[in-house]
Amino acid sequence: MIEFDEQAKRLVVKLVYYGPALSGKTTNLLTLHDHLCNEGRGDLMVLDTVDDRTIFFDLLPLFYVSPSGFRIKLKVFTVPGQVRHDATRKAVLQRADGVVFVADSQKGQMGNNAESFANLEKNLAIVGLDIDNLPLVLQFNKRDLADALPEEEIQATWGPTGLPLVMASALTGAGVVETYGRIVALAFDALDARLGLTTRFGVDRSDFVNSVTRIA
Amino acid sequence: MSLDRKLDFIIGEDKSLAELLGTSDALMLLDGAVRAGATGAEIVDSCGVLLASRGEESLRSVTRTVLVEGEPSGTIVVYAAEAGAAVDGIADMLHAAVQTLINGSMKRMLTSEAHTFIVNQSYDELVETNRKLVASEQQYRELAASLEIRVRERTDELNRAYAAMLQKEKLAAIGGLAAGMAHEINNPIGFVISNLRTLIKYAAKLKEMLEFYRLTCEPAVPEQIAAQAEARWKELKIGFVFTDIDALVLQSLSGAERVQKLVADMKGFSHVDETGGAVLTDVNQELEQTLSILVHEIRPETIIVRNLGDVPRVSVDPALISQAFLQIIQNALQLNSGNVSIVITSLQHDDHLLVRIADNGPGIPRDIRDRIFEPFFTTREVGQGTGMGLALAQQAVQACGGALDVTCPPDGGTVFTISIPLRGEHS
Repeated sequence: MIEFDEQAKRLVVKLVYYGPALSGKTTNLLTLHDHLCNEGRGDLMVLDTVDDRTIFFDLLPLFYVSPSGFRIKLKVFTVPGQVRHDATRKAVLQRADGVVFVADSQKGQMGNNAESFANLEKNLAIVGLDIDNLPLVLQFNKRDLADALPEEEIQATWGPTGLPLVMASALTGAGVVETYGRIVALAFDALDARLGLTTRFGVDRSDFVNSVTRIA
Repeated sequence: MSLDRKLDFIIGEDKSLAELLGTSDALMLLDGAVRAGATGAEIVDSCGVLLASRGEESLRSVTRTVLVEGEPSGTIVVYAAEAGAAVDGIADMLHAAVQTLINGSMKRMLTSEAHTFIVNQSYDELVETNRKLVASEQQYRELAASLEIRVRERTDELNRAYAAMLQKEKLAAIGGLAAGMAHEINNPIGFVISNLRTLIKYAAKLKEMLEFYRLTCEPAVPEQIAAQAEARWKELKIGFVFTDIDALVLQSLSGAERVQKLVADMKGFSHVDETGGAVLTDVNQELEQTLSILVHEIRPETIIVRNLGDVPRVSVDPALISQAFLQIIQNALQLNSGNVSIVITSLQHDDHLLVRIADNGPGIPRDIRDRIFEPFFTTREVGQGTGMGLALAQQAVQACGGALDVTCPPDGGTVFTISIPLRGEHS
């Protein structure tokens, strides 16, 4: 997490959308921004891009105050997918509380997916995060495309990892909020176990999750 | 990458409203509100701290909440003489302008923050990469240096092997030549020696017959003839001929015999007469036999010290190994120095059997030490040595699978060491 101030009863949480170049991470955030209720939702910040390619990151901030007065700010980031931006990926990944891995469903992209996932594993280790204990959701994007790999095949390959799998189409919006809801819930549970958000600060899990995932 | 620097920036770290606004920019916007008709305007953060203010307070005011990343972080207050749509309009415009300013600042700060972080991190990584490269370059340099040494060692090794091969070829050529010459010379020199021996006998017979005539028949011949015979005897120096003929023939005989020995040595060198094979041999016994063969060549004042150890038997051709012993010991016996002393040692060293033959001679000058095993190389006067002895010895030792080395200790003398591998036959 980015910041936790017990006295101020304030927590800043970081979620990161990771994945190979052009798998639709920014589109996920744009769609999310369009779908989520604008109460508590900040402006989507899309930083400098070249040819529509992310070179730094995108940021969608969300804000929640529990009835008990505990404030949680959720910052959802994307990373640049291109191999050359590895330093930026590492920087953004620091102190992440949850990661969504956005894979490209197209046949022929499996190599890039695997390479990017290996890069995620490597960078998590470098920034000191334990992949086995970090909330992680796998999203297979671009299900709307004709040459998308059949779901059974994806299940057969990635099912054994035990990671939650969400089929999505960021352009049409399918699975985008579901993916986000999954990672928010998982991240909350992990933070709750560490900080006692429910027991010590009276934060209600479903109120929080519903609030930050509320659709307009 | 230092931990400190890691903590300098956390991408996504919260920014306060004051940081994001920038006082001068905020004042400019507030001025605009005042110019638009408000009596005053101010921005207060969530803790109630006044961040910027312009104009005068009035009784009427409208407020707008300032959001930072969706979080209410401050309030805009617009004062007016009276309430109405105009004030709300001013407040809305000011609010939109402030939000735009905040978002712009946020973007700028996030970008520069990320940029700085990445540059620092990349720099640290480059420094680390450079350090590793320098280390690896150093390693390769050392490798290259040691490679040069190894190449030199290998080259020396090859040169030595090549020299040894040349030497072998040379010896083989000499051996072949010697074998042919030995065959061609042996027969004529054989009958020359045999005929010279017969000639000695014949000369003795003629001498005896002449003496007989001189002593027995002289009184019977007329005095005039006897005087003539005596004069003729003197004139022909028959007395001198009688004594010289033996010396001449004996000298020729000795010369011929020397030729015969040289031929025999050369035959040994080429191993044309090599017969026996390797059998388990007691080298101590072979040394004793060699010494007994040489007994007539050992002068009374010569001291022979036997230091024969309890050594295992080795698999060699006994004729060859005793040939080597003979040549080396003979070489030592022919020393010109006064009291010759020869120490013969046999011992086992690791998996080798060593035989050392050390003399107390003057040693071998360094510049000829490499040549002493060459055939026909000799330091003795012409006719004194054949130059074959040590070459023969080395050839014999090598044929036994061993090695012959020579050293000259600093305190004088020469040590020949024959080293024969044991190959595990300890019976």
